[in-house]
Amino acid sequence: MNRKLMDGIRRRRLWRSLLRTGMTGAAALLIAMGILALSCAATGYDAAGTFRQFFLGPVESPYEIGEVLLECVPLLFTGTAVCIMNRCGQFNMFVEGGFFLGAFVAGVLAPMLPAGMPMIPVLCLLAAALICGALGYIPAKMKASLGVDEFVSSLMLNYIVFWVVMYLLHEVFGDPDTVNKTRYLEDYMKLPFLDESIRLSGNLLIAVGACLLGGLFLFRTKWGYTIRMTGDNPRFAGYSGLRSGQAVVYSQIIGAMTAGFGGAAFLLGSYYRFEWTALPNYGFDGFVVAIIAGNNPFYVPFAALFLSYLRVGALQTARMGSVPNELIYVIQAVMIILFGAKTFGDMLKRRGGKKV
Amino acid sequence: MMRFVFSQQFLASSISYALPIAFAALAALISKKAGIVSINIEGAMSVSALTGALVSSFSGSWVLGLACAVLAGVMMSMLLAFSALKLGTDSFLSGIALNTLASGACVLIMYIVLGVKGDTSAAPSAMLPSIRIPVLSEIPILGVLFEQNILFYAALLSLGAVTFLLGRTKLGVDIRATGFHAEAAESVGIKTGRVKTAALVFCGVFCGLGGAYLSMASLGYFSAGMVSGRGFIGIAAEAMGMGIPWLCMAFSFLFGAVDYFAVGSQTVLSAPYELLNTLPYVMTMAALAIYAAAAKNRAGRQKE
Repeated sequence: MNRKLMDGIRRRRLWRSLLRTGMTGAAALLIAMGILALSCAATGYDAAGTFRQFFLGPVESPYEIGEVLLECVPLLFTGTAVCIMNRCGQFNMFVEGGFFLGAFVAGVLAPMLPAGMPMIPVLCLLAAALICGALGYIPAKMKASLGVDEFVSSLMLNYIVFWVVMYLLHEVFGDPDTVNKTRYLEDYMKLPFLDESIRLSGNLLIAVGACLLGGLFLFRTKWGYTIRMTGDNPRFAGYSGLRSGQAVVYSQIIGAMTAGFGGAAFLLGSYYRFEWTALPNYGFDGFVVAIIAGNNPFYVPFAALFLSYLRVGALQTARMGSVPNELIYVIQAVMIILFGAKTFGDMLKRRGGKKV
Repeated sequence: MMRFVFSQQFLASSISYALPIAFAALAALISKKAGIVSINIEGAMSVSALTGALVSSFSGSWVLGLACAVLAGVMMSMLLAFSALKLGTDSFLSGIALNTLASGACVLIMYIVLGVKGDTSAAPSAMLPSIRIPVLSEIPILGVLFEQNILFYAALLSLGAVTFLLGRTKLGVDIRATGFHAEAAESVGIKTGRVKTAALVFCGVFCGLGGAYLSMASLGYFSAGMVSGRGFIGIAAEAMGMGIPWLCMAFSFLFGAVDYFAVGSQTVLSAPYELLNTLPYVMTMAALAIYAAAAKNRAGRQKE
């Protein structure tokens, strides 16, 4: 087929998917506004002020923009991780536990390494990725060899990781000077800040890099191709000679490694200690990001930015004393369903068709 | 240690820990038979628990609270049906979305109604009553089985009902046919959409009962995150029970016992509580793996 025609088709397809994403996004925003208005009506808060805070609050000043970018960092990592596993058809929740564990590993390891050592942050990132990858192997192997549903087993693994980390934090690796925190991270152990006044850390660049690498991996390598073919139809992939069983395993290991790496980068970039007391839910947020991005890591930065903008908006309204922050979960749920819907676009079309 | 495990209190508490898991397992069972992965059980239980707590607290009637909890469970199930069957969102994704929705909505509703975000202990629920069966409850140790909460008997009844429904009714056969091969079922005139929705109604009822038990019997109020994975453990118990209702129930009780052991043994054993807390999850994972290995082994032998 001639090249011009192919390009034309590709461009039209891109436009159509962009249009669909835009419309779905607009619908999700409308529903979000509806929920916001309802909650205002129910609690009796000033609706105009709440709306203004929700939509304009996140872009009001450099500090708020910094907060949006800070919120964006974990979503970039977990979104990419989920994309890689979703493309293989694996609904693995270990992104949640992996991100948590990665942060913990970095928080423990960085102060333990001798001060003069070069590249301490890099070593910590790699260690976190390796440990999480090793744990990610468990549900992956259980799925590939035994057919154990990876969703349930990875969830159970999350709870196990959480409690073991809590034990290690309380009893083994805690800073003796404080309660239930790891030791303070000196500057040489951390990823450098780009602009400390708005808490903009270098981990943002690494996170965007991870999205691009994830995209290149999925769309430009043999492994990525195997993953995508396995996700589309495992039997067909198997019959065509692709090793789909292996793809099931390494897609989940790479996803878990990305999550662990991300957790470590987030902690070393934006925090001074590990002191989380609950699973941070970033793994589930990663699902929202991946779905909005159409499971394409190249689009993850846009989806993550969109979501972190909404999240900071919700945080701001909550800080104002208005509608609680948890509102954002309701909005996220609506977004997953709308973006995941196969027939949503068709329904819009049909409605439009009827009018004519 | 041994005295702890073989005490009457251990049996009673294990049952109390097992009941929500048992209801979750039944919910998972009926939806799986219809071919739907309903991981929204976790979220549905949470919404039901909140509804039950609030309604029973404000009306002062446990009957009304229980009824509304069940309704809330069914409503959450219908949301799954709408999203997965009507909109065509993958049922896994829909479940993840609905669990997210539940965790947000519960806090929002609590905040709107009571002005708090943590728990509803300010407005204690009306508790579900226990029924004491005379004579039988006098039996040593096993007597506790006959002075249980009303939902314990409801669980046994549900077990019977599900077994009967799946095995002896037209709807049950349709449900199994739909789950076994939806297109084949469609081709012989079974309206699979409707059958799946019907199965999800039952799923919702069980979620409602499980949720109500959490906030109206095991605790006297709702607290955010109180379901804490029991819905998922129920799904695991269902997988272990291989789709056989009574076996699913039996595994639920085993999980409940381990769950209680993790909490109860903290005073008896000197092991750190964080590690004891991993027990139910470690056991679930190990059990899933062993079960799958055994199933694979069996399948392999049949082929030879």
